[in-house]
Amino acid sequence: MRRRDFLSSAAAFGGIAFVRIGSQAWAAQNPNGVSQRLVVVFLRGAVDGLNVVIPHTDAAYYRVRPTIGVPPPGHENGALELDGQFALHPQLVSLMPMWKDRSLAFVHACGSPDESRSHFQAQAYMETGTPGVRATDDGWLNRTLAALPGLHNPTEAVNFGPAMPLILRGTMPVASLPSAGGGGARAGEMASAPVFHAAFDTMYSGADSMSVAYRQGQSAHARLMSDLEQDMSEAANGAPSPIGFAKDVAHFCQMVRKDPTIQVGFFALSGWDTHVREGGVKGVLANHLRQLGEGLAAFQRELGDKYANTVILVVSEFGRTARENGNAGTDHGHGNVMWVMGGPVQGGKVYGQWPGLADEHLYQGRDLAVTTDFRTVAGSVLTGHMKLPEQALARIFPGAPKATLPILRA
Amino acid sequence: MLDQPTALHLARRLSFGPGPGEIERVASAGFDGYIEGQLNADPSKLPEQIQAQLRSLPSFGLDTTTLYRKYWFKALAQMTPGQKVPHEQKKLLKKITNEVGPEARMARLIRAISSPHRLHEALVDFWFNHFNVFDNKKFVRVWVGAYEAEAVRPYVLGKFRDLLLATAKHPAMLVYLDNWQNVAPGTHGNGKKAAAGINENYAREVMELHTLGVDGGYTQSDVTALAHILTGWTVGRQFGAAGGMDGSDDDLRASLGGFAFVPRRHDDAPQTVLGRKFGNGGMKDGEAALLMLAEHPSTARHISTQLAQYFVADRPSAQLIADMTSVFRKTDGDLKAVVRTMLTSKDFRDPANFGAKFKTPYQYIISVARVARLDPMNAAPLAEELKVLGQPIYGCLSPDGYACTETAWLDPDAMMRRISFAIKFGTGAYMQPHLARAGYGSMKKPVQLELPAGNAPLNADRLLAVLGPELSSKTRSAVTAAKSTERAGLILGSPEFMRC
Repeated sequence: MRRRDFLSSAAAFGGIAFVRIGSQAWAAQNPNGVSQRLVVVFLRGAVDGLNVVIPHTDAAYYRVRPTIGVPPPGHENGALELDGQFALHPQLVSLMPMWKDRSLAFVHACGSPDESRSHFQAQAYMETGTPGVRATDDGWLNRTLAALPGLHNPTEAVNFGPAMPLILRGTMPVASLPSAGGGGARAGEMASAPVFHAAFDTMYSGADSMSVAYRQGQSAHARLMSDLEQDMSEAANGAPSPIGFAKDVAHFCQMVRKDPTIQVGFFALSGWDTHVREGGVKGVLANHLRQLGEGLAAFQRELGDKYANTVILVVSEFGRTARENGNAGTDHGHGNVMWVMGGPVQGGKVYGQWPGLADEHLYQGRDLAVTTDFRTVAGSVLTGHMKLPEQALARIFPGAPKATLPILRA
Repeated sequence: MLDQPTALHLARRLSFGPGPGEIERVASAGFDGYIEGQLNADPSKLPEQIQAQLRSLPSFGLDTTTLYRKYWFKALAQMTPGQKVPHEQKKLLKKITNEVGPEARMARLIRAISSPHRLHEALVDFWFNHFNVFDNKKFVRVWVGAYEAEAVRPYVLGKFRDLLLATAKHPAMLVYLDNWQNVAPGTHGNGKKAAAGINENYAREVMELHTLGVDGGYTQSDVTALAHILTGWTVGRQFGAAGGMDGSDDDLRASLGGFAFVPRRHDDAPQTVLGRKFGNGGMKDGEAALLMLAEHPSTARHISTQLAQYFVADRPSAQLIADMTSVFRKTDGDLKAVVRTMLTSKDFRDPANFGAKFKTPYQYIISVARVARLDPMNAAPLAEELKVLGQPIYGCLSPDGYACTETAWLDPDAMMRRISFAIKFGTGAYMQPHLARAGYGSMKKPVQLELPAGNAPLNADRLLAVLGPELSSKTRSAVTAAKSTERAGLILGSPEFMRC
């Protein structure tokens, strides 16, 4: 659909603020003409942080992980040295340029204060931002959108995947895009075919949840599709075809370059629940990490100068047991590592207090302890990077500890 | 005669939506008559036409052991004389393996669309989800249909404990949640290189998801203890060193491709789960522990809540849950009694709950096929569409299965996709690209669809004859105003048809 068609069809939804103006006008609404951006990548299934950022000087690490431990730097297939204490999984080599240019940081022994080892409960808590509180039914990224200044357009936040995740549910509109594995980018195209458009607009003109979703869908679809049509030709410009996550990242970055009003992105990746044959240097986890690393590296490459205003958080619901289990894997644990990347990040550093892996330091005798609340990291990014005031943060993460982690450049 | 709104409600909730003549049949059976008829139906008795369609699927009806021996390419290769299997034969074996999953999906679709035992098919959807396995993990890809047939279908209106034990012992579940590799610390595990010991994946999920619920009152130490109790519950295989297990174990050979309990991999040490002591009981300890979970009050409540959420309302009332829980406990987990209590409850008949649930993609797609009188043998492309809509059959990776609530499924992009599908299906454009090359769902098996008129729009008048009563006046006037070729798409994409 061409821009002109979009505007005229948008006019049919008269009375809804977000469809009155085009994307350039939205950009102009933004103070300073700059758009800060936050991307969250959720690793569903609990990634084994101890094999992502490896505490290679902690003797207990190799004792509790005799077969899946990643060798220290300098050894064959060894981990990639970070700071003398920690090292990166060798399959994440594509992230080393970001570590070296200091736009990549980690917060180790980070996680939720809630002890749940249920994937679903722990994910819910990490998405609502209210660990231990069941009643919360909206997500902290949606509350973040509500706190951002200016007009809210339906593509201010973009989700990749077939269903709206809890972290983005709430009162603010969010656009959803199919991920590369989810049926192709044009799965919804017929719904905006002009011959049907008017009839469906009539049927979905109410104030009920489906009608609201329908109108947001039409509006977002029109914007995203018009960008996509141009992208298709540009994307073929000699670049190798990335797969999976990296492809979604490239798609997102292209959209951001065209429409700087996109302020929030969300990706969810599964396959981290490595109870069996997780492996060390090689194995299930190694393969997943390589693809994840390549996708994350694509953010810097594809965002261009927009990388300077983008922070990417990589989170997971909890860590995994310090000890490997009976199947060269790990079971559900507690503390994990959180990844923070982007131009504004004071990187090249592993933040957080390291509790150690000796038996007496393990949480409940089995897991890495949590010494930094995940909301401290996210909150520091929301105030320092997204420029949200303290009062807004109190609504986004009620009851959370003070968000004073100095993880951003001054 | 039952009033039309209630008859429609029954057809929507128990039937994946009405097919031709359905509302009238429900209405003439009456409320109690219809429900009792469905509760007491014999699901093994299917019309000959459906049986013939099922028989046309080569792997349909084969049991787990046979499927393993006949269809798992590594097992097949192993049984081939000679050390090395030629490349061509390997390819053939893989091809055979790849046909089983799509055939299982077809078998599911055939019955979901056209079985007369409507409630049974809805319960199969519910219980498979509850005891979810994922078809893209190792042997599960050849076992998924047999798992449904052996561990789920026979028990959906039986005793909960039988359902629990059948799933716990089924090789598909043992592999999916890793318990087949959960062995006593210090014994031989998966391959000589691997460290041997506990894997607590199943032990946790059986308490969190299958029985007690996340708030059911268990702790990490209960999870660990149960994992110890369930060591040695595994799957018989005939692999040498390359396959992972030593081939010298008689217990494993005896039950090739089936459930096996291996005493020397079992930790018989004393354990305490939920305050009760176990130990020295071998396999009996595991069975007793699972029975204890099945009988636990938290389980009664958890199961009642989930059933009510699927069949009655996204947020079922406390009273309904309490009533169902009470019946569950009084009847020792008799699921027929629990379902009867639910369906005859005041809540189920409350008009406020009519048309109030947002169909899951599965419910939506099956309802389209039913109202369109689609021949199930041509339903393979619908399995593809379920992938696009985010709910592939047997394709849920995580053990909680698919959600059934509006918050989980309704979002702007979902609306665009559903409406887009409705338009394509209604105008006849949807099936066209599948005519030349289509599979039973997603994998490789080609099947020639026999559509009498592949590109013809659906007859909107016939849709209206079935769905007329559920459409609003707004929808009706939009349909009337449209061209005849566009009407069916508008009906299938209408707000009323999105709900059940």
